[in-house]
Amino acid sequence: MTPTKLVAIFVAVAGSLLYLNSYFSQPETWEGHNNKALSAFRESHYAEAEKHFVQALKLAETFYDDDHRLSFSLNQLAEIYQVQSKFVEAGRVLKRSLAIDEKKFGPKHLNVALRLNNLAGNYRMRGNYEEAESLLKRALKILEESLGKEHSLVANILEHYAYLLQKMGKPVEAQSLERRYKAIYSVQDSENQ
Amino acid sequence: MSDGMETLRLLYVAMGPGVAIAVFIYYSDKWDREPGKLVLKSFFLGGLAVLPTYYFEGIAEEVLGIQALQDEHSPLFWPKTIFYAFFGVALAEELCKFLFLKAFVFDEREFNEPFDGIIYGGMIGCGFATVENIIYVLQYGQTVGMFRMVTAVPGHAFFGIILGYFMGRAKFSTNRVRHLIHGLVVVITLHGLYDTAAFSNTIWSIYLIFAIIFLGIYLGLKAKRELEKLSAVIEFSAKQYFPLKGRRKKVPLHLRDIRSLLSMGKLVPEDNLVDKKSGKIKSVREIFSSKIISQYKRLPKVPFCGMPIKLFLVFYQVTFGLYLYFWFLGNYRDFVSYKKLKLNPELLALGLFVFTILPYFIYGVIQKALDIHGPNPVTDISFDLVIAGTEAAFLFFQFQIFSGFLKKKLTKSFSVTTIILGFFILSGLKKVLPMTVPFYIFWEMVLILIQGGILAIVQRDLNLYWRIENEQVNHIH
Repeated sequence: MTPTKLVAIFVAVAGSLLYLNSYFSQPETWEGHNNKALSAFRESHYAEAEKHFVQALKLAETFYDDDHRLSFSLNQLAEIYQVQSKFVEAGRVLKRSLAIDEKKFGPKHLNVALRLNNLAGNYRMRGNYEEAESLLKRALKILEESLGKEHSLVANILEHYAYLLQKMGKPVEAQSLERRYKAIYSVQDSENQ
Repeated sequence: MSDGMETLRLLYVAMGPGVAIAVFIYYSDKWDREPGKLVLKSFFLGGLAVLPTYYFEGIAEEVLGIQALQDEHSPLFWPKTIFYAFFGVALAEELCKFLFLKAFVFDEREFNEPFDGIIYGGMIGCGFATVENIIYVLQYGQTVGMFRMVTAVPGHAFFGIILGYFMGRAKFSTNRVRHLIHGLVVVITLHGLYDTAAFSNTIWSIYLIFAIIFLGIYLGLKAKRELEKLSAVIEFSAKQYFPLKGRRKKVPLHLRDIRSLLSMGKLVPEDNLVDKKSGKIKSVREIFSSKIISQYKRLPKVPFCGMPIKLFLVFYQVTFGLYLYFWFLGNYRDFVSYKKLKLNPELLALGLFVFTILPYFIYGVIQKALDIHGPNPVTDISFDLVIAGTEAAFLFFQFQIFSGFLKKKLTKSFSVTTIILGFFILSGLKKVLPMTVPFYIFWEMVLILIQGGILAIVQRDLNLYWRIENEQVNHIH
């Protein structure tokens, strides 16, 4: 047997065993699950995406309290639940996400307002219009106080609120909000031009 | 789609391109086809090479720091990325392929002419590309598979061909070490540049990646062409030699006899022979060296043998229709070489590739740039039909040329218009078929099978044509 052959056999056997050992002893990472979930989501394989988002969430729960990945995983999971019309599960996850942000940033933070809006959307889809309205009012108050009444995020919430009022059979109130958010958008459009 | 079906679909996407190129390489050897066992062994050795190199790359990542390699704002990002690309990845992968090729294939007696380096080098490259692709596609999904189909897979395959070219020349040269080092330097440089572009993830990366892949394909095809000529010289040269050992000392040998004796183990590359005409003593290495390519122009015109239809259909099917590109190139090359046409087959095949694969990436980039989310059926279908039309146009011009030759020999040859129309309809259907349709993979396979069947009509006529040409040439001789 030539020396080259001996070296090649050693490289093949030792290298392969070492690689396989490192591969199988390595648990899947948060990023790995997330990538797989996003890839499955893009290809409309929602059940598989959900499975990976759940795994990613389990891993995120083991990180430090202020790690952004927990919040990210919760929101992704809520999204995939809603896509599959699993509104109850999505609502549970969104509530948890809201509680985390309230604890982390305080009750009047922008992130909290956005979480309130997401949860309100979930309640609306489940037909809990009163609860959705109360959450939207809270979100609107936070945003108006911190960003002013003419901000685009305020307009977004108003638009959502107006849609909810339409659903609740309150067209007059809805039209009033519609005028408000359209005015904000038109001002922004003219500024952008 | 169930998990099992999904895995099967991804495996299909992952393996198709590597297998397609391997089939193309295997059938390039026209005069002395290599034993399937050794070809498969090379392919699997290439796959095996992935494991040790990945382990080494993991160590390199740990030493250099994975964070530093992912964040372009980290200090020493560029030196670390370049070092990792060239020494952590390119060197490890190419050296491992080289080592396996040298240790397990290079000294085999069936490696009996320089062109065999192209076959075995290409197989090692395809094996590596296929296994690596399976790992990537199963982990990151189909989108990554589609991108790698036109970048990393042909990259590995053609880097393997380039490495094999130098190994083939090294085996039949008096300066073996120079060729081996030359080959390693060329492939490591190409591969290192490719990886630097891929890892740096800057705006120009994508352009550089495609530029290097095109360069690799171009150099690989050029190397293959050169050794194909050498192979033809070995097959048809009239030169004769007397061996200095063995029982057949008095019987003059043609170059193809020497090649046969090498594969039987009755001669080795170091053996000396006497030139019947000049009386000069030369080793087999010297006789088979690249110098004999100069005899190529004086060779008689040699027709080709075509390809069995069943085999064509199987390859077309298992490669998801990707075999079309290699079939297109192979057909052009046969006719260009036989009829001395003033066409550039490589450029035409590259044109087909550029006009039918790259637009999908450009379309994706435009969609991203314009921030277009979600499918737009009208634009997508129009785009797919334009690409199907481009494919059909390339084939139309090729078939028009062939049809001209075939009509002179066959009583009834295929109708170009009917074939192209059928091909276009199936190609269009194949592209616009939405993935959400039930049993998508089944319908896709059916469409590919019918499309392959249509092209098989052309292959059948080509086979007939080459048979008639062969009979006539044999009759004249």
